[in-house]
Amino acid sequence: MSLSHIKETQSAMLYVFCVLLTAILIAFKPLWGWVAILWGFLGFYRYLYLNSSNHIKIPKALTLPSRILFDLTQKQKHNIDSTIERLLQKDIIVTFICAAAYIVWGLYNSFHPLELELFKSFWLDKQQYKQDVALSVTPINNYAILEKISYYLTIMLIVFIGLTYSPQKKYLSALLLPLTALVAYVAIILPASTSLLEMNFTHFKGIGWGQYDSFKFLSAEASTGKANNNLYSGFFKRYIETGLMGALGLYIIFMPIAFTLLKYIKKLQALVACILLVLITCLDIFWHSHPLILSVQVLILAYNTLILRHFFFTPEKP
Amino acid sequence: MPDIVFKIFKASILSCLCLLSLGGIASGLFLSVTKSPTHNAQIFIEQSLIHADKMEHTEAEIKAHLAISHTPYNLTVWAHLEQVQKQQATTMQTAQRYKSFAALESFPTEAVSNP
Repeated sequence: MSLSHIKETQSAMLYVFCVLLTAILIAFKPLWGWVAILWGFLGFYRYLYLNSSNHIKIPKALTLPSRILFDLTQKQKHNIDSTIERLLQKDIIVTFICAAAYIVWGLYNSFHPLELELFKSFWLDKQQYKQDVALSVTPINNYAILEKISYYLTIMLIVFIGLTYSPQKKYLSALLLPLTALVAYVAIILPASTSLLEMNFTHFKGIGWGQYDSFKFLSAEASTGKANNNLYSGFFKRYIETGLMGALGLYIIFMPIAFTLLKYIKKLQALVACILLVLITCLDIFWHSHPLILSVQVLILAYNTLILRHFFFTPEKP
Repeated sequence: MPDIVFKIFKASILSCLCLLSLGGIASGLFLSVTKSPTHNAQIFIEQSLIHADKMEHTEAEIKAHLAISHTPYNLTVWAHLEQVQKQQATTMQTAQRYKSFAALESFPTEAVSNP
């Protein structure tokens, strides 16, 4: 067993460890700054590894870190090329294009938001809301926008990095399942969301990232001045912030991946991945938005990513 | 896939990974070392209400601070006044005084939207 092979195994284990750590961090306190730094460093480490098989003539100084860290054999270089070919399949490309489009849509909503006043229809029958609350005051929250971008880029990095590992280590994906089952069980015990009852799917646009708290506060004020007892789901929060397009858009991103998994549904791992996809969709729509739900979503996404790299992979040439 | 096309795609996808990683580190560092403007504004208001009797911060100062921090001024003030009224009965008068300028009519929304 070569040193590079050990390094690759350790790196894959590090990925699983980082996923578990992320899930735990999110469950207890969503600190996206730290999570983004963690995945940024892991992503850069993978970049150096993948770049070490580069055949393009570039100055040797630029590949020095890669050559010091990973002294790859020809066989391993071929495996990297096969991995990159897998990344260039249309399902992955379409997924990343959709994810980029989703971020652009979120930014558009944030900088050209639907006025909060238009959301009055949610509590129009309740005339209790305080007239002196400035409904139209929704200043752009730059910090929240950066936080959201960081969140979606981190999710993209988790998927991207997961796809760069050799599919020969099938047991790795199974390591994520026990914690996924545990967190999913705890998440399902959480109360169900009632937010769908008050939705009217008329707003194509939303009020922008970071404005959900304003909506929630106004909505609570509208409910006879007491704290609002409605439990909002992740789907509903996206609907408020990015409109109908944003709420449904997240499912469109994962459509190509879902179709690939359905194609191989006769295999046990693909079947499990499909069931998990249905589970996160249900949690997103019908359950109270809670850090635990987010945590289980990250775990399932990482599991599905590790499963996904098996398909279309070209094994090394003899 | 032709070799040259593959090389181009490979270079592009590696560049994407590199940019995503560096972007993640940069945004993560920024988010970790700074606090949310709403969070800062809330602390500022709380401090202002506590020290209101000493007149440490004037109305204009609070308005300017909230406008700079892009915080929904009225919402934040409302939320904290409610809390203060419940928790600190002794500061009721102070809270009422601040409530008077928290009303929409007395606050130019342009100042918040375009600080």
